[in-house]
Amino acid sequence: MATIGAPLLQTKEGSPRGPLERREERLAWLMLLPVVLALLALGVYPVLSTLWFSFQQGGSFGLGTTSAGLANYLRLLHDDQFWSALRFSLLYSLVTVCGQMICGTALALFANRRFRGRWLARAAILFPWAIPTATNSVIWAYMFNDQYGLVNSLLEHLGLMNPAHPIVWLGSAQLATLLIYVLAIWKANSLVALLVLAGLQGIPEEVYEAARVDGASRWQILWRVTLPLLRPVLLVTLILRTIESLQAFDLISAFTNGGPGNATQNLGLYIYLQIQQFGDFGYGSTIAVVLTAITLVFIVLYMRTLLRTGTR
Amino acid sequence: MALAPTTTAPATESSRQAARPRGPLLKLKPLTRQTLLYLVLAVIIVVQFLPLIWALLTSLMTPQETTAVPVPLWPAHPTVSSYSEALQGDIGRYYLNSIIASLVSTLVTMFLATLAAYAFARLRFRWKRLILLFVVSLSLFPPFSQVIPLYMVLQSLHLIGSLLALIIPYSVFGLPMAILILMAFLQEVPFEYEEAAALDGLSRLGAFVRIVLPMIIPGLFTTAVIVFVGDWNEYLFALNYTTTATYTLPVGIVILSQTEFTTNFGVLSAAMVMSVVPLVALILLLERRIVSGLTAGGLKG
Repeated sequence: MATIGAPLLQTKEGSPRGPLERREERLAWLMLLPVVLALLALGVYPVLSTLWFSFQQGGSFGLGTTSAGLANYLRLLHDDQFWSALRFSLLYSLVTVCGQMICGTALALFANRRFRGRWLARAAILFPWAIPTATNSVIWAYMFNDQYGLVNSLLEHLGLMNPAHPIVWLGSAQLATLLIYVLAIWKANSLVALLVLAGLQGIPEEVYEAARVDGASRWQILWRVTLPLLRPVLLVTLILRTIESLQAFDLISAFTNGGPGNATQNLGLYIYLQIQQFGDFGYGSTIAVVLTAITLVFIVLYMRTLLRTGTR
Repeated sequence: MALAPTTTAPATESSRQAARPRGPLLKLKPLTRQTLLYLVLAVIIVVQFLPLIWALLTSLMTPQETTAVPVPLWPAHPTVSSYSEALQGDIGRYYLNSIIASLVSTLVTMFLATLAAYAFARLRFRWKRLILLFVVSLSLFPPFSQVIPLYMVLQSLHLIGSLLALIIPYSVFGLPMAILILMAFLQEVPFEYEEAAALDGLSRLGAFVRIVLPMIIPGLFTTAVIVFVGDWNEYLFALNYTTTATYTLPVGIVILSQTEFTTNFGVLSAAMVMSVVPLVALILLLERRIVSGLTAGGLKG
């Protein structure tokens, strides 16, 4: 059950012939119909509609728009705020996904060891997944509040900081960006760790045994045996995390809300600004289309990986 | 996870003996290694739980303590007044909204997903792979490509400002993940049970409802918890499709933090603790099941 690509591989495609098979097919379609219809209505229609809106302009909150041709897309080219948001999105994905992969794998390797109290390690790994991203960001923002936050309070109690000149963590572009990276890595570690943990449990003990017999050190076993065997899991995790990171919104919105200035504004926040603050559904949709197009590359990669691991 | 064939040569007695003294990478005494291990464990636990611990401590502080400079690290006079104040304010209503929206959506998602998962896992039909790919790929599209048109649809139906504006999208967007997890659970049920049921004269649907479903009740429960957590934590749709009357907890807490942040740390912390603790309790209790369910679904969130 830990195998990620398994569901795809185990679906047998047969061509129904007899009446029994036809009845089976009819039942399958009856069971699937509500789901397929719901996904078409709430999944596919909105995506197409967003595409249509990206060629519209004017109006307010989507009402009374007129055709814009390619005007919105041309506007993107000269929109500095868009480019800076795109830059932040890509950089954020690169840094946080790398961090999540490294920390998550390390956590999984640790939690895979046998020792008393291992369940505590696993519970600790699972915990960040369970708290709402937005609520968690509020807690972090509070912890790093310059006046009443835990971090500055700790620094003061330790005598490392002068209370008259507190560190304004979220007031500096560099510090705020750094903290967002830390927060994002902290929050999504658990997802990576869980997947890798499942992967580790799929490696039979004999493989390690054999490596040990051959005189491999622990370090060599990790790099030459464990990690290569985890490759398919790591690859799928990497792609899924990249997709999620590109779409980030809750985490940044509730932590810095793009500030200070626009230093931590990513594409998600910029879309939200356009649609909610300015009511410009046309331009907001255009940016959403760009974000979807970038994500689509990774979705295709993911599908190909799934299919490949499925046909081992 | 494709496993490479283990082509290692069979171990002879001599090589086994030669390998034994190598032992661990770090040549530490067993006791020191043990200490190190638990030290790492302690660090992990502190790092992972610190935000919750801090919110918990703050929620027990008096208003004077939360606005002292520097803030004390421990509540000198623990009080639960922040909790009663939070519940008397809007937080109580947000709580109720969150519970209704998440619970109803989870039930709808589970009903539809169970049917679909059974069809995918057990029945033969044309274009199965294609439809499954369609379902999976939809779950990966950015919600931003859906949020605007859905807003217009919901508005034209006059649903913005009612909890249905959340229940409808939540019910649908939870489907792909739920289907994947349920499929994994269904595939663990041996075919023989259904064959026996068919011999006893049960229809496919009858075998599914009477034989297979009862066997995967733990799996159904696990999936429901995972779907529920996803709905409970959802933020983007809740932010766009709610009004003050229908704010859910995450939205309410963020808005509270933006408006009353400087005055009401205690109440804010109490609200956060209350929104997190029920889930954490559930998750600590069901840790092992949820891990297997999450990994089966390929993980989203």
